[in-house]
Amino acid sequence: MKNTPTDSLIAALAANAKPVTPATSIALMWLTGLGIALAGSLVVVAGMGFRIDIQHQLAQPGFLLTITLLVASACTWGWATARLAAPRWPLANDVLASMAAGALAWGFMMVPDMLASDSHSLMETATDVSTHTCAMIVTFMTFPTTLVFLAAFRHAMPSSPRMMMAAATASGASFSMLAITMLCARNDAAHIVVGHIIPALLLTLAAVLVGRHYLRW
Amino acid sequence: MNQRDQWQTWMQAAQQGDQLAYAKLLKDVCPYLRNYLRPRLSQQDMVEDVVQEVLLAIHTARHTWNPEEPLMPWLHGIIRYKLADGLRSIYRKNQNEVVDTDMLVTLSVAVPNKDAEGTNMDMDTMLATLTPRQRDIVRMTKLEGHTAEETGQKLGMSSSAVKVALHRILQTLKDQFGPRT
Repeated sequence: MKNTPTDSLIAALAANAKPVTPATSIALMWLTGLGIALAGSLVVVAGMGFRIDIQHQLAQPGFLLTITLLVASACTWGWATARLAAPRWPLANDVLASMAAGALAWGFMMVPDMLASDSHSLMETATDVSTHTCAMIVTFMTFPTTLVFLAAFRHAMPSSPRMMMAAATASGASFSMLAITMLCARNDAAHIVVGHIIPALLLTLAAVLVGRHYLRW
Repeated sequence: MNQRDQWQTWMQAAQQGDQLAYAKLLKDVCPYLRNYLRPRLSQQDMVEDVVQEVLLAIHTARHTWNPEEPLMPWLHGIIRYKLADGLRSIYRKNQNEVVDTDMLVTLSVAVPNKDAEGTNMDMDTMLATLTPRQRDIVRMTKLEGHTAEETGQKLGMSSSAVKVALHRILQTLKDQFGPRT
């Protein structure tokens, strides 16, 4: 680099300055990512078959609240991904707020199950879905949904690549948890924590590690 | 109009292809970058490298700046990212210094020690295993004392490429001829 004096570099860069279209379509990219990931998740659920008690659950406020929290977390993590796709420091308040909202939504996800009056009776009617099967489904569904987000932001130049990768993975994992909530009839807290939440958390943490290499520019 | 507003105006013009405004912006940003980077980089010879990296990054990422948003957070996002890269490169280089020192000791012992002939590897033998270009890099930087920049200029490479190549060469020589553990 030092061979080229900075002034020559500036002259070369200025000579190559063609008009560019400023990236103002963050919301559009965000909606595209969300739409494709949601559609993909629903296709997987429809293909594998909804949980046996889906009719009953759809009438339960707790179940609906869980679904709402998962959709909200997918949206907020997705928004954080969209905003992190361009360089910026310090992070904008809406990025911090959306990440905090996504984390809170994950944190509160267990509350409806704990409060639900028929949790224990549902445990008895649990299907033969084992915890590790759910963990595998969450893991393998998170990859394509995360890739959808990353594809939507394929021209991203994040100044915090680890954070962007984690946000994209958390959004993908939220869709996976949404799908598994529609698939798996087991409502016991231990199963949900070990089979649904921990795999999503581990994948998000793994994304922090690989983010810098994957999103390098 | 203050400096920041001026930069913002120039950047907007640059996004529309105004080369003059773009050149003014990049020139005006340079002293700011140097002042910002100097206290943050322990190796002062790296400052200009990082300044140039930031300028290149501004060029590559100029479409990601939204004209409706302030320029400085966007610029600082790029500076922070490239500064982190620069610091990583310094840490890597410092780690590599250990390897370089070992190799220099091996080389300096191997050349003049006639008594050790047959037990110490002759430097020419070691260099013979390298390609002509690799030999030139080792000869110029380690034997003739040229800097990476001077070597790069003579061989038509950037100084970074010379440093990376030299590290790899020394590592290869160490693997081949260094003491077995």
